[in-house]
Amino acid sequence: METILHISNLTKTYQSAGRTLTVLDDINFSVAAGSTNAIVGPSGSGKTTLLGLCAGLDRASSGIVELNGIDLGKLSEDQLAQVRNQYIGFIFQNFQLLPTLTALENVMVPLELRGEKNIRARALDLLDKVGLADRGHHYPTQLSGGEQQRVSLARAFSNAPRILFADEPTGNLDAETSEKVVKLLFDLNKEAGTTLVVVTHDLDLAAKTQRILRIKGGKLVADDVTVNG
Amino acid sequence: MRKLNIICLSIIAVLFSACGDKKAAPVEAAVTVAKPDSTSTDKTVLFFGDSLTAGYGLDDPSQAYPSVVQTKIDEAKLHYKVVNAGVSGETSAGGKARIAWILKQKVDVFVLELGANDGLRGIPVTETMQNLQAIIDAVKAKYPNAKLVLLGMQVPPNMGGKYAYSFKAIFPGLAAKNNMTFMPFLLEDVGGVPSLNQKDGIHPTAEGAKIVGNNVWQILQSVLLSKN
Amino acid sequence: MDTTHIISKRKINIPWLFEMALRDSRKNRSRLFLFISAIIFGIAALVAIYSFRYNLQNDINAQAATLIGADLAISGNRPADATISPLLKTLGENRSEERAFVSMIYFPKTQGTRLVQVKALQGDFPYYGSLETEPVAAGTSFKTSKSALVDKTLALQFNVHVNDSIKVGEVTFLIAGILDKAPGQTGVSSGVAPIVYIPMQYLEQTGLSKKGSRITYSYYYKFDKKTDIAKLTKSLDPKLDKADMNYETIESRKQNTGRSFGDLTRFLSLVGFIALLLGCVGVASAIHIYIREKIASIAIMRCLGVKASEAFLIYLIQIIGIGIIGSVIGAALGTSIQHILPMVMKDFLPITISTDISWLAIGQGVLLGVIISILFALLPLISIRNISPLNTLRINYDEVNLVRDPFRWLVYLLITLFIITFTFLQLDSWMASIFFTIGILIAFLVLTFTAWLLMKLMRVFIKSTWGYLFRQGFANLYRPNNQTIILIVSIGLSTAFICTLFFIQSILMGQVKLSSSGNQPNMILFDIQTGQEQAVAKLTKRQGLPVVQQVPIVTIRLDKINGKTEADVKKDTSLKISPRAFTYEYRVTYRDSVTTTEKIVKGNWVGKAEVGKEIPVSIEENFSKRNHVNVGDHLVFNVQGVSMPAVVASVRQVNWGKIQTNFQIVFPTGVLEDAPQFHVLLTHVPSAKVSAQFQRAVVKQFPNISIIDLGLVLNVIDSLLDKIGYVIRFMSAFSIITGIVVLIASVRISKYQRIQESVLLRTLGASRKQIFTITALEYLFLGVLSALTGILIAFAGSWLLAKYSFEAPFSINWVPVVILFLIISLLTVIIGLLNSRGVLNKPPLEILRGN
Repeated sequence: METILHISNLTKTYQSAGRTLTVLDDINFSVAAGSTNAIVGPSGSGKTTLLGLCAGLDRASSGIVELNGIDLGKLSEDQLAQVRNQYIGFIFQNFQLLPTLTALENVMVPLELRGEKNIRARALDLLDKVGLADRGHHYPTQLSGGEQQRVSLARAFSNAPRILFADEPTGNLDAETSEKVVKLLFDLNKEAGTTLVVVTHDLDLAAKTQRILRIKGGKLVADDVTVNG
Repeated sequence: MRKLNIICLSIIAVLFSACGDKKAAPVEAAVTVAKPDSTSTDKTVLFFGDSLTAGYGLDDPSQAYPSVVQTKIDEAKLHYKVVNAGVSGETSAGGKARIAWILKQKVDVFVLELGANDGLRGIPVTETMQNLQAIIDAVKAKYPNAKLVLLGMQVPPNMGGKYAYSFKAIFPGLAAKNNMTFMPFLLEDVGGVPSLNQKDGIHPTAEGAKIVGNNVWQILQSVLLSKN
Repeated sequence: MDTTHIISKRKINIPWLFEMALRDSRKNRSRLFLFISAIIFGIAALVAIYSFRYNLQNDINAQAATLIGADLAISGNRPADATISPLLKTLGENRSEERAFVSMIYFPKTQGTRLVQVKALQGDFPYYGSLETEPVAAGTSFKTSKSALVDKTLALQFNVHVNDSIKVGEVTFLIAGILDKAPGQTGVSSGVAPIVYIPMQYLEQTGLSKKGSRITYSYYYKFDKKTDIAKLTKSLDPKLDKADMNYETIESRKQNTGRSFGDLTRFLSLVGFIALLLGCVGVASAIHIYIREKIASIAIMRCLGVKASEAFLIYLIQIIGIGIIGSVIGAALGTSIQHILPMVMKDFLPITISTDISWLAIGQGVLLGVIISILFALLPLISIRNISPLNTLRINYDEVNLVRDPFRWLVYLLITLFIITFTFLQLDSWMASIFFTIGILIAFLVLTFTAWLLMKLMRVFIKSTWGYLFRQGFANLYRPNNQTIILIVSIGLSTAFICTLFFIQSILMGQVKLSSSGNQPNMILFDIQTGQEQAVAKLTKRQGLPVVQQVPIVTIRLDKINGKTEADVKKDTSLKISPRAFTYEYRVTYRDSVTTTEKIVKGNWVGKAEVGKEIPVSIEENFSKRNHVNVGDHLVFNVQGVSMPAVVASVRQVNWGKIQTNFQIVFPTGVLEDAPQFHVLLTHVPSAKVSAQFQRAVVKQFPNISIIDLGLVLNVIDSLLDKIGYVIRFMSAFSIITGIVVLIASVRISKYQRIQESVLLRTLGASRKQIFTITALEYLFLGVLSALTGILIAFAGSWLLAKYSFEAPFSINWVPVVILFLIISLLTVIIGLLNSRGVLNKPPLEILRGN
């Protein structure tokens, strides 16, 4: 099976007040293409840091992050940006829509960056899939949390990423909305065949994935295959 | 706005220089051909006058008419030394104030050439006459034996006929009264001739001064030759 | 594996960047308006000042033109000869001729005579300004009949009026008008003798223009506007020189009548530049805050794959666009302000300022606005490149250091170069520009340091025993996300600029007052003989007039410099002594002390000569330089027949900028007291009437004394000074208003910093009063400290400017400074509180969502 993400000996430390703070300590794992994965762990365990490193948002102190066969540690910031644009989709806890852009424009940005054709139609199509076809001209502040996260889902899938990173996608949503968004996330993921890596507290959400990685105190403490796998 | 003041200042500066070269007040120095400490045994001819005597505007004060006269004296082998006591811009009043300083040196022949600046400034003729008389009196008092010569002056016609006439009349009157040898017009043949005058139209050029010197010599010759 | 193959190359899509820039600006327009407003007011000030300056320059040029009355004036002491005459008759579009000479004129009514300057005029001269007469029409109509214009003082002196008559030479003229002010009047001639204008066609009849007459021949020309007078005069110069003629143009007259306009322009440039720099402060701080708010958006874009350079470009495009909009609006506003203001203030205006639209000023303004927007926005903009996409996961502004970037040094360098270059364009001196830039840098550093120090101190000093509100208010100064540095720098710089303007304005106004004040001499009496000086002074005082100065003057000649005579110098040019040093007749004075306008720069002043020794004289600096004579050199003077050996004891620097008698050589007392000399007395007469009365009294008692009345000339200068003074006030007020606007903008941009916190506090249940107090304390402290620092910087800066640039005494009036301090502190607090008003009046959630 093709490996989309390969992590080996990954360590991340911060210098804080003269002390070295080890956030991630010698993490090793691989993610198969098309699989769904959850990273769980208590607050401050380092799971978000791990996500950032996997997605090339931050640089490791040591170790290797290989995404789609590319060693991210060897890339320049600009190359990382392109890797993100080409291969990665993001979903954030607080949605992170560009506040000055409409819902539709938010979805269009990754496509525009790639210089693709029929951008508007494709973005509208995606919005339609998340059930927001009629809200395309609304600004993020005019949308509810769930709606914002759905826009964010549409944006994440717009560039047909090979891997999608989600950071607490339901963290800011009520239970009912969460359920809808999660369903949408998995449906879209299935349809596109994207690899999914989701960081979450939400064990219900984690249980929907095929594999659960447990992080505690910066160490990978468990790697379980779920019933889905 | 410091520089604004310069406007005012330059006006004054211009004023002074303008006056200086026209004929007005701010005095400019006299040149003596002979120094007071000169140990010559020659007798002294003292030219007491204004810029015309001082040789204003000439490259060298030795081009002024008193120097021309000196040359003539030397050619005639007369033992007289010319002292040029001309001061540019000197008026009769200035001369009156200055005469005591000048008379510290011995004078055998006293040649008086003053009044032109009074005339150009329109000073009342009575005032000029009184000042000149005072100067003559001072010489007479200090050196009773000195021979006296008066060089007459006229003002340009633009001063107006009436004033020009009464101004011109000062000199023969004084000469007669004080028994002086008299030359009616110093600038005879030179005044009003552009080529013989400097740009200002009033001071003779070196060439003009030569003519003036010759003319003065014509008068002075007899004075120097005459026995007491 | 070569990863670069896998990553597809993507070109920068410029149109998309523009689109993003436009999209991104949509929801931020109100914030960008702050930036725009900083630009608008800065540029408006600049364009207004530039337009005003260009117009004023034209107006002043026109006034300078009235000083000469024509584009070109040629004069000589001889009638034009055949070689030059054809040229003189073909020059220019319009020609006038004048013959000027002194003459004794006769007043039949009072039977008085007086020496006057007669000017026989033909043609339309003056082309600029007019012969100001009473009645007005007489100034031009007198030329058509046998009539004359008589100087005001003269008319007063001889008690003649319009329709009386005067006799000039052989011709009797009817007095058509009393001459008040004559353009082209230098004061030189009018000083020697008052002016009487007559029509030239009667000159011949007067009989005064004859062989031997001393007449100045003047020719006045007016040229087509397009004529390059400078070029023309250059080609005329040798011909005129050959013909012994002098010429004067408006330009040369402007230069000759002092560089006063230079001073004015310099000041206006400074004012303009300060307005601009205030705008820069506004731009820099607005963009700084703006970018801070954009961190999240930029991080998201970076996550989506936008390159750092693309993110940078998106905002650069925004800034340029806004810069252009702001500059254009500013230029329009500036142009209209400069139109409206003189209209509004018409009643207070001593002069009519023309308000032509100056496209040059507008062009300069817009260009500058764009350059400045970019330059000053660059500093925060380059930090965009360093905003990590990680900020999407954890918002931590502390980690986003907006200044730590090597590129910032390049930007600093660019800004410094820009300021130097721009200053150079204004001041035309590299030295001055570099000093100015260094001054600004120092001000900037001082303020930054003050802010830094404040934050350090606050951290240490805040005691837990203080009340919560105090702690919170002061802690706001150093807590993360604080605005201390940016506010202290911008408010401090604004205060410094405004305050500097105040200081310089009062210094300059003081100077202007000084020259037109009552004690400035405007009448000179010379030829006062020894023995008369006491009596003249007494007479002057009896008339109620001040004796401003009275000095003896002795005329001397220089015989030898260090043993070398004129003949030696002519032979040996290596001596570096001008032979003219010997032909010149020096007017010297003697006294026992230096005057207030003199300063000994070398050697020691000796006030009394010792018998039997060389006379210790003091020479003027330029004399020293010109003749290579220095302290210790030996000179032999010829004092009207008496040889006097002297030694140079000191070299003096003389401030020629005062109406005073100044001297190249000054003797000590004890030498020249007996030498033939005359005295000069300077006094001030308050009016033409007093002048005439005084002159009559002097002439009656001391007929040998000559008097120059500078009243007419000084009147012209006084009115010019009044106008310049007004302009200074006008311009300064304008820049000060601009400064306050930028100050408002500076504080307002901080709104977005504090609003979140206030909302949070409100959410936590803080009362309106509590938030009010916390905010007030924070802003009060910022305002007070910035204003104080700014004032101190202005104090130092103005002192340096006064000393080195304007060479004026430094004195300040503390009252406006205190007022300014209070106003700025208060404004800061008020604006700060107004910012929080929204928080206080609305439910917290609305703000949270709305933001």
